[in-house]
Amino acid sequence: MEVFFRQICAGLATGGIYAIVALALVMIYKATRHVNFAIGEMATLSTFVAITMIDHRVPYWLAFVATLLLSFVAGLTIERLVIRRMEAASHAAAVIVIIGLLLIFNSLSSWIFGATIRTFPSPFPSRTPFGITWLSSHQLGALATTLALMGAVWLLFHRTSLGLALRATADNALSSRLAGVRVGRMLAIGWGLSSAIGAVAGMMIAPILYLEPNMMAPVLLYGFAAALLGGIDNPAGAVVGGFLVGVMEAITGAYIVGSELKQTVALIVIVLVLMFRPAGLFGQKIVMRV
Amino acid sequence: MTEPLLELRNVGASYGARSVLHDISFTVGEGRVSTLLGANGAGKTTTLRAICGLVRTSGEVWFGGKRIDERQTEDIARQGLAQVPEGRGTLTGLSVEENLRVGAATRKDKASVASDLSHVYTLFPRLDERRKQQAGTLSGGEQQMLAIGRALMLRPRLLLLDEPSFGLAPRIVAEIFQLLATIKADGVSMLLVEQNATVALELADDAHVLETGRIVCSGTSAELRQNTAVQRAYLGIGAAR
Repeated sequence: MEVFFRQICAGLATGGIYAIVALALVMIYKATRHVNFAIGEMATLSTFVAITMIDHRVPYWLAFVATLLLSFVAGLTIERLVIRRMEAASHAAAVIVIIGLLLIFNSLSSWIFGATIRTFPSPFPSRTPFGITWLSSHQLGALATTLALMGAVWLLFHRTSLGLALRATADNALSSRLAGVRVGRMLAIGWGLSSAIGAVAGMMIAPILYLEPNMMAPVLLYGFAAALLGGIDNPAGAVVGGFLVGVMEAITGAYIVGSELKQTVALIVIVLVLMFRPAGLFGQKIVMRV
Repeated sequence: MTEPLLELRNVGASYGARSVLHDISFTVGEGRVSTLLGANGAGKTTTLRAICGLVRTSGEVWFGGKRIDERQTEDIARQGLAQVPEGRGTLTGLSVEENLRVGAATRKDKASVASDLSHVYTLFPRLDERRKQQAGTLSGGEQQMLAIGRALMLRPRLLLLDEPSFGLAPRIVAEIFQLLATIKADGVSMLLVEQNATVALELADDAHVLETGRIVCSGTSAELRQNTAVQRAYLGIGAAR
């Protein structure tokens, strides 16, 4: 029972990181109907930028914030330079472009920072507080960071006028434009935010997985499964999906399939959701009356 | 004569190779309500889209002394031109109150936004009752009221309305036009596109009849009501038996 409980906790800790990735995916999907598969590789590159700063003796949290800002600008720039031009293009063309971005960012990471596996520091104290033994200090810290991030994102979207404009843009771009909302700017900000959120996932998973150019590939897979499970158009659903997928991964990995087949769990979730509940658990429950 | 609030000069519009409007010219005066009448496909909606920069146009559009064709839709709205779009444009996933707040997205003064919000709730008590409700769950008539309320939140100098009666029961249409009369009495200028010519001519001061992308007849509402061709085509009076 003790082991089972530990597995659940560990699952929640990594699930939080999947939830962050899922949230980053949902944000872009809601606004543009594109699944940004490149978000993982963008996060890896952000994490490399962070470690470079930390290597140069920049304090961790300063490097953390600077990385978020840089990632925000990078996401914004990608939208302005690349994604905006895909507005009139077919969906397939946009998918190809996004996969192209994925490959470009992956190669950039290898090219600039090399393919060697590196450790990434955890900013949290080495001892867990309150004598907690069922989670490592980093897992606990990552979980707290996840929850703080979720709270901040919620406040941004529901308590600020920028958040309202972002949600309006995602809901009905034409009506938003007619109300004077600068829709193009909102889409760019959405990409920037998504990219910054992805960077948090990268920096929180790196101490667990080790940093290398392909670090985020499995995380993206789980994050995508989480987003689909929760409903790819529902931010809250995506977060719940992230925790569910994390726990599923931990339990099936420990008791059923073993660690070699753990990633298959994510794929099975993706396939099952698409087959039986394409809108996800909490997807688009919007009722329309005409 | 004072300068008109809105002026279209030889406006043409096309969707790709298909040209929909030809050489449209008319004005809307400050404080007045003008209506565009016409059958389905005559180009009424396209005219409104052209004014708001949603379709490629030729010719010139002037609003409040400034030329606004070639400007972005967002910027045109920020000039004080609010459109209640065809199909109401509800932000379905947002609450009623959030829909109204989006309408005030361009405004910084929180106090005046709050007072306009309560003004809209006074005009539309049904929206007041449903502040927190998801807008997509409203009935058609309520969504139309929400669309008008959202446009009013911009504090528009000119309100463009695209078929506010569309798909609504006669009782609701009457209710909505009564509210539009109240809004007109508040001094809001309007350009109204409508298939229901009877109610439109009752509200409007001036009217223009659009046929296959051309204005074929203009005048005051009273004049057009007396026009036998208009009576036959749009008011259902004296139709050939």
